[in-house]
Amino acid sequence: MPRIPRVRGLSSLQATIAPSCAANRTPFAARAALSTSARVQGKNTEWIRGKLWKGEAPGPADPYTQRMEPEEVSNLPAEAREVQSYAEYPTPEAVEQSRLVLPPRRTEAVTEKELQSLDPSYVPATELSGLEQIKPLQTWWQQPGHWGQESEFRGFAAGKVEDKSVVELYLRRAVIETLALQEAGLLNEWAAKKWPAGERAELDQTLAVEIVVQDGKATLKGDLSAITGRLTSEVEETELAERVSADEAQEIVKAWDASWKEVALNDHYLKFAIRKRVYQLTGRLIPDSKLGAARTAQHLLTLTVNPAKRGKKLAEVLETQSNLSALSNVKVHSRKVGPIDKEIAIGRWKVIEEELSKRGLPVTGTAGLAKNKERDWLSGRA
Amino acid sequence: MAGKGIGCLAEAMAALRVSATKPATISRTFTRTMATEASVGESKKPATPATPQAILESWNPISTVPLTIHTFPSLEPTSLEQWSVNHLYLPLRRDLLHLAVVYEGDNTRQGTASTKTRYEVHGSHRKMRPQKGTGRARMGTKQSPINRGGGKTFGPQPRNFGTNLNRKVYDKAWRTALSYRYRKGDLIVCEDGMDLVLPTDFELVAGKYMKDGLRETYLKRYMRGVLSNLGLGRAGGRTLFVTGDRREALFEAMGQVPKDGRVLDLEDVDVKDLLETGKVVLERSVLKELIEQHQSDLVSKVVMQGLVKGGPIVGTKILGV
Repeated sequence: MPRIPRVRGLSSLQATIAPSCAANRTPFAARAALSTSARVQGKNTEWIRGKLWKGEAPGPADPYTQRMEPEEVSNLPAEAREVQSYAEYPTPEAVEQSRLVLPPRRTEAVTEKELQSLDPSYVPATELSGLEQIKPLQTWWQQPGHWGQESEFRGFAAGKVEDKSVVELYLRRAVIETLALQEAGLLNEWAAKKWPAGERAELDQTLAVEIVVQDGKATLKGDLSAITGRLTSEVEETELAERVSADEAQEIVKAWDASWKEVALNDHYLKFAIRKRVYQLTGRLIPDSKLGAARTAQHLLTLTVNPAKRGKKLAEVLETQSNLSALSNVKVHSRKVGPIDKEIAIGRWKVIEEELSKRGLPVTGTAGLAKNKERDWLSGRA
Repeated sequence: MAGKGIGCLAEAMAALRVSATKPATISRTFTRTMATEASVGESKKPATPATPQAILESWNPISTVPLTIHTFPSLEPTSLEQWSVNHLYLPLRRDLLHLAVVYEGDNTRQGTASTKTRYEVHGSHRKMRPQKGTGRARMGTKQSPINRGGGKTFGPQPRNFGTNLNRKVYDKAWRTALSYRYRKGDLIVCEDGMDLVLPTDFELVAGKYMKDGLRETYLKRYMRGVLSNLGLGRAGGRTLFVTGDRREALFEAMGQVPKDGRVLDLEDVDVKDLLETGKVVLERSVLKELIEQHQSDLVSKVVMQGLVKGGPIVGTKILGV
């Protein structure tokens, strides 16, 4: 009994497969040429093709015998081909309107052969350093020329003034302007509105007004109508004029009598307007709690300019006490004494530093290298 | 018994009547407050305080404190309001803040740490080796805690770490935290609908033509610029923004600059969040909502003559739009 049933059928398998094997197969064109019906059919079916397509039919008349012209075959992957086709489109309208500098479209590099015909002096790079370096897209906005004025934020105030006299100068200007509006009876209407920043000449004109303070009540002497007229005019978005320099402000401030700062600020409108104007001109936002506490211009200045003092450190406190420094075996350090400090104390650190740098080793830290692993291997820990 | 009680009451009332008829001057001579009394005689005009600390300490608002409302993101002051001192000018109580922060921390703990005891570890409970005769120690099952792969004795089990805090204490801590930030000048209140305004040039191309992280890196640089311009960035100790709901532009931009601050929804803010960053920027409606939610110690539940005693008025406009 045969182990596999129908063995005979299996033995004949090879013979049956052989003729249809790829190597033995008759070429397509040859088989088509042998066919007798094809050409006749082509002639006979032309009229029906014409009817079907209503005019000239696309493709060859006989798709079985005639082959279409092979399309241009590209070895590029589908994505790259798509990108190539993008390049033919015009730049989108939004991109053209926007002033942002966007990265260029992807383009395919010219092949070496084509390039040689274009630029005979071209020599292909043989080393990594010979290749052009392109920064990643992550750093696009950090690269020069990409971040423009259109992307810069402009708040209500432009930059913070650090100098004390400059702040005082602009505070006086704010006080004069606000009092002028109050005298004209326009303050309640104009306190919350935006006032034009004004040019340098206008600043000088405002500062020329004299403030006479008697028992906290201020009277202004000067051309007030010009100031109020300027403040209540329509605001145009203008570039903020150059601020007064620190030295110049110091000289101007020195010339004033300090009594102007005794002017009482006891009105909500007055305080609000001064705060707003000082913020606009100096970039210093006076907190509400400080504004509430300030009763005179002097208070406002003190609260604005004086930075909050930090408490003394322990080392600073100990330094002032003489009992510790008098002891011969006690030393006070302002921070923790580390290994480097100890080496510096005995004069060995500069030698260590020199030797390390000579060997190209990091002076401090491990330069991001991992810890000694071999030690763990030897001790059987890892 | 009842008669005796009434007698006591009558006696007490009589005593009251007597004390009421007494001249007030006599009681003053006998009582003395614990506080050090200043001499009334010299009513000198106080000298002008020189230091900022002295100026701030000389200001003791009785009923209300001013609060400026700004636009965002330009931070232009637009209006002024008055808020009750019970809402925004409470004295600093570190103990309350500590209680609130600990309470919040306890209730945020996940409490999902879990280990298996020897009875939960999978496996056979066959005796590992004979009791006697091997020369080794006695040993029971594989799951014994002394074995590797065995159970854990007294290991953590899932539990609730939450603690309780009296509602009135917690609410006072909320207002104390806000008051502390107000006093220090770290509280900036903006108009409702606070959201970041992005440049029009960016808006034109952002949706379709800024890909591969270009949009995110742009927002990062832009938001850094905004924060540094307003003095709210990392140099000022970071900033917390709180909005009523999710504002897409602000949330996306702040997500790019975690080192410069954070932005939270109204529901996600805690007392701890208010105390962490250098500055706190709130919407006006958020501040109002926070105060209204946390004033149980100011609001009475008792109805008297058909009315309930509510808390102080939340924000009255003095000037501005």
